[in-house]
Amino acid sequence: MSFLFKRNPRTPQEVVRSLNEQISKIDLTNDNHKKYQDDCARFLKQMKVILNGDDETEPQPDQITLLAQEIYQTDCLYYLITNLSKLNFDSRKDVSILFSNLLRRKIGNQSPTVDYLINSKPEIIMLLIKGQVHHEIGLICGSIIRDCIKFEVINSLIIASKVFWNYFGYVQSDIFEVATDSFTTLHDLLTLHKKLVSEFLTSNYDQFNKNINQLIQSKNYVVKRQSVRLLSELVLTRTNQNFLNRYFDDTINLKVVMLLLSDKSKNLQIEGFHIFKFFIAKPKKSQKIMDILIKNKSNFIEFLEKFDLSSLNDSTIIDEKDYVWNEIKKLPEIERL
Amino acid sequence: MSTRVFSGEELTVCEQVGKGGFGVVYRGLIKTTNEEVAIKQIDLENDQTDLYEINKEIQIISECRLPQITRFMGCFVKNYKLWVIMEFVNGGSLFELLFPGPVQDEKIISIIAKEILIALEYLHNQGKIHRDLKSQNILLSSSGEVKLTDFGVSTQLSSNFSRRNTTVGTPYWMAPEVILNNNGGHNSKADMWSLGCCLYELFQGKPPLQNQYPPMKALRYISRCIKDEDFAQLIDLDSLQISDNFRDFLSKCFIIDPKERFSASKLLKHKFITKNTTSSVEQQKLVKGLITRKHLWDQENHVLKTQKFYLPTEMVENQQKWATEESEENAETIKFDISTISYSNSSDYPSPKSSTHSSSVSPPSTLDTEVETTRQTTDFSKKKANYQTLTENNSKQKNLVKTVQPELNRILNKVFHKLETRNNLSTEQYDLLVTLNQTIVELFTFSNYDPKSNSSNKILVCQYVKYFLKELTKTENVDNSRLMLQKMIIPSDMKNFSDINETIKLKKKTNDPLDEIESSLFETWINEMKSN
Repeated sequence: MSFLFKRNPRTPQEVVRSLNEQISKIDLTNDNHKKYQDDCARFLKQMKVILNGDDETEPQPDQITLLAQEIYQTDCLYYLITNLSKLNFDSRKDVSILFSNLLRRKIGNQSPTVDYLINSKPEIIMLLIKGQVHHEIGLICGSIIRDCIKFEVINSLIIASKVFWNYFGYVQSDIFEVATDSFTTLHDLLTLHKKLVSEFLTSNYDQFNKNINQLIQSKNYVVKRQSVRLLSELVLTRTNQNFLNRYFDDTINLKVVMLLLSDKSKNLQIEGFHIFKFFIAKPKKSQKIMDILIKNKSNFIEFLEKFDLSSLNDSTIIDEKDYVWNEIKKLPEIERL
Repeated sequence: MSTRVFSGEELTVCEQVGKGGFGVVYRGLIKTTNEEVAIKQIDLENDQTDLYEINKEIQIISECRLPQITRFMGCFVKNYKLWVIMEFVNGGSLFELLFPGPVQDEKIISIIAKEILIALEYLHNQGKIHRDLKSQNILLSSSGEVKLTDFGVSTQLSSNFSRRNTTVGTPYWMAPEVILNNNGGHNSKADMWSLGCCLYELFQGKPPLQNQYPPMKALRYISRCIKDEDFAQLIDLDSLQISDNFRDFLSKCFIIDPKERFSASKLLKHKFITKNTTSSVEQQKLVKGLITRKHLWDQENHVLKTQKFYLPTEMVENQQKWATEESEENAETIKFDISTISYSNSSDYPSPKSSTHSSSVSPPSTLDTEVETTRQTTDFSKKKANYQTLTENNSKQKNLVKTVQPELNRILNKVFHKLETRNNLSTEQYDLLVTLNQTIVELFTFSNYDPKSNSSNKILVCQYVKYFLKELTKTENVDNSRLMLQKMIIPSDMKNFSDINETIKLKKKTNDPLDEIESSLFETWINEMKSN
C-alpha cells in the first residue's frame, strides 16, 4: 500500500505544487500526456475535497486557507487557465468549481480571490474572456467569468477594457453554444450592476449603439432575437435613463426597429414591437423622429392591422398595441405639396 | 475523438429516423469521414419553447462526455432551425427492441442496468437530472453498447404534461414526487424511480401499470402511494417471477420517499449489479442478442419502415409556408419608407436601401409576397365576418364541448397509444392517425356550426354513425362481403353485436366523473397530500 501514499501528496501546499508541476508536463503531441492529465484530474479532485469535504470528512478552515494561499502564491489559477484546453474534459469542470469555491471565500468583507485577480493577475480575466470563443473550453471560461463578474470590481474592469467589445463578435460565433454562452455573459455584464452599466452606457453610447444595432441586423436568427431582447431589457431598466433618452431620439434606431417590424419572423416582429412602443410613448419626440413616424403613418396602420397577437394570450401586449395604434392615428396626415 | 460538426454543409442528410417533442430527427453522414450522426432539428420560430430554455439544454448536453451517453457533436443555427448533431446509435431503442417480447434473461437486464447507472451517476455527480428516463431514451449500438440519450433537450416536465394531455405520451415512468410537484421540486432521485420502471419494463414488456390502467389513472394511483408497500402491492412486485436480487433492486428504486430512495452510486454496489461477472465481450454479445432478436422478429412480421427523406427548405419556401399556414395576418412585410432618413454618422452603416434587402428576401420574391398579401387580405375580411357570427352562436355549443370533448380526447388518445405501441408507427402512419383523430374530434364536437340549422349537423353525424353501425352489425341475410366487412371493422371480442350498443352507452355514462378528475387532477392530488 505504501506506494499509493507516496503518489498522493497530503498537505494542501503539496497538492497545489504537484498540480502545477503536472500541468506543465502535459504535452498533447506526446503519447504520455494521458498520465499527466489523469494526475491533474486527481489533484483537482483532492482540492475539491479540501474545499468541500466529502462523505467522511468535513472541510477544515485552516486547510482551506493554506490551499488558497498556496494557489495565489504560485499563480496556480493562471496555469490552470492557460492550460485549460490540455486538461481532461471533466477536469475542466472541476477548474470551474474550484474558481467558484475560491471566489465565494471571504475574509471579513473582502474576497481574497477577487483582490488577487484584480491586483496580481488581471491577465487571468483577459485569458478567460478570450477563451470564451474556443469551442472546447468556451463554456467553462464563460461560467467562470460569470462567477467573477458577480463582483462589481471585476465587472467594471472588464467593461472598461477593450476586450469587452470582443463579445459582440463572440455572440456571432457559428458554434451555437459558444455564441449563446457568450450572450449570457454579455447580458450579465450589462445587467448585473445597474449603476455601473448606466454610467458605461452614457459614456459609450455611440460605440454601444453601433454594436448592438449590428447584432440586431445580423443574418443569424438567434443573434437577432437575443440582441433585441437584451436591448429591450436595457431600455426597460430605470437607471439607464440617460441612455434611453438618447436612444429614442436617434433616427437610426427607429430605422432598425422598423426593419424588425417588417421582418418575416413573427417572433422578431413581437420583439421589435416591444421597443417600437417606446418610440411612440416617449412624451417629447425629436422632430426627426416625428418626421419618420408621420411619413410612415399609413404603413404603421397597415402593419398594426395585420399584427395579430391573439395567439399569445397576453392582454398586456394587446393593450399596448391598442395604445400604439391610437397614438399613430392621432399623428397628422402627411403634407403633400 | 472530438469530431465536431460546424455547419450543415459538412453533412449529408438522410432519412428521418424519429420525431420527438422538440422536432424531427434525421440520420446523417459527415461527408469527409462517412461517420453516421443523428441530426435533430428544432424549429425556433414555431416552437413554443423559450429560446433561453433551449440554450440551457444545449449547454447541458454539451457538457457530457461518457461512453454511456450519446455524444454531442455540434450545434448551429440554419435559417429558423437549430440543428443539434449527436452521435448516431444504430441498434435501436430498448422500446423498439421489446417488440418481440420481454427480456427473460436477468443477466441482460443487469448489464443494461449497470450501464444506465454509470450514466446516471455521471449526470447526478454534475448536478444534472435526466428527467425523462424511459425505454425510448435508452439506445443500443450494434456493437452492444448501451447509451442514454435525450436528456435535457426533452422539454421540461410542465410543458410535457400539457402535451401529454393533447396527444399521446405515457407518464408511467414518473416518480410520485414528480407527479405531485410539477414545478420541478424533484431531484436526481426521480431518475432512479424511472430506472426501476425501465427494468420492470424490460422484464414485463411494459412499464408498471401500463397494462392495467390508462395514463391518467395510473398517475393518480402512483401519486396516492404513501408507503413503499403501497406501490409494491399496486404492481404486485412480490409475485413477479424474478430473482430475489432483482426484486430487492427494484424495491430500492421504488422507495416512495426520495430521500430514502437509493442513489445511482449506491445501486452500483447492489448485488444485482455486482454479482454479474461475465466478461465484457460476453456482455456485449448478450446485448447484441436483443438486436438480432428484433431483426428476426421484423422479418417474420414483415415490418417495413417507410422512409421519409429530408428535403432542404429554402428560406423563401419556409416563409411562403407560414404565409399559408397561419393564413391571415402573418408573414407579410410592410415596406416602411426610410428613404428620407438622414444619417448623422452614417458612414458605419450600409445605405438604407441595401439594408432593407439584406433583412428581407431578394427583390423579386418580395414582389410576389405583396401580390399574395392583397389576395389574402380580402380573403381574410370575409373570414372575419364569418367568424363573428360563428362566435356569437358558439357559446351554447361550447358548454357541450366542454363536457364531452375531454372524454372524447381521452378515448382517442387511448386508441392512438395502443396503435402506436403495437405497430411502431412510421411518421406517415403517425400523421395519418393524427389527422384521423382530428377529423373525429371536429365531426363530433366542432362540426360546422350553421346558425340556420342549429346543431343538426352534429346530430346528423351521430345518427350517421349509429345507422352505420346498425347496418354493419345486421346478422340477418348477410352475404359474404358483408361478413368480411364485419370482420374487418368490428372487434373480434364483440361477437354478440348487441354488445356494441351496450358499450357505447357505457362509454357515455362514465363521462362525467372522469372529466372532473382530469381537469382538476393536480389540485386534488395536492390537496390529498396536504390533508394526509
